[in-house]
Amino acid sequence: MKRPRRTLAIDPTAKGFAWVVLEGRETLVDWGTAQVTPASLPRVRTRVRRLISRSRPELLVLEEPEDSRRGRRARRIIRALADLADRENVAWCMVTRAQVEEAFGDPANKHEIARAVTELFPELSYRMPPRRKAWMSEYETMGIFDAASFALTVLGSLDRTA
Amino acid sequence: MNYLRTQRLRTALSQEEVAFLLELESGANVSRHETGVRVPDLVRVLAYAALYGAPVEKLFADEYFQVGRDITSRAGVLAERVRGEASSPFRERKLSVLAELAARDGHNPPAQ
Repeated sequence: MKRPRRTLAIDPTAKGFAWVVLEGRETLVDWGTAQVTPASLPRVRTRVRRLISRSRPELLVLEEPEDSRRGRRARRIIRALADLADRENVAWCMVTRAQVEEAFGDPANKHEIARAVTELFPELSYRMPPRRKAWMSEYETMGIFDAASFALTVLGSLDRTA
Repeated sequence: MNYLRTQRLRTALSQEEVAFLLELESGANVSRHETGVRVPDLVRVLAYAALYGAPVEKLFADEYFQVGRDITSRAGVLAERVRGEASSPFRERKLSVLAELAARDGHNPPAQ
């Protein structure tokens, strides 16, 4: 696969989804979280279609749903987004959590990975959530860092195979 | 795609706050500029450049590239016309400028 000029990575969150758009591997051009209420698949699809038409990515990166601890709703969204990418003529690929952890080295929990992402993209530091305690639910903005880590994992492996 | 949103996200300013700084009616106007639904007027373009400290060709890189490509292709057409003119220092100067334009091979969008 050729290195894409623009890459969109999406991570479904509890309230909608989070995304990042990268140009190459070095430039972060867009990021954010979208709240889709009521959470329905068609609404998520509409929002993502708008995002694709605005950012015109060459590659969509998602998390592999079969090899993760994601819930049924998130898995359904991920599969729907892969279908949407096909319809929009955007190449897509999936990464597993294990691939992400390998790409970011040990010890690779989500918070450490998010910190590594902010070192690459300091402009994201103001969205960095505090460390989550075991009894707390996940901060929504963590989705931005997850999406960034998916994109960086794929782009890193493309660089190595090039 | 323009890079107004990218630059705003880097500053952590909201669309409402940017609208206030640029004396726009509301954040919706900023949103329209960012999504390309509406093209900002010259004063606003310069205001965005001043606000984000980024040159216009960087904020509107895709548009700049497109405009540059159009000029490059029209430069070839104009050069053909100028070649038909009687020889003069003006003609030579114009031809040299147009050849330079045509050789630019588009205007590459600057890195963000």
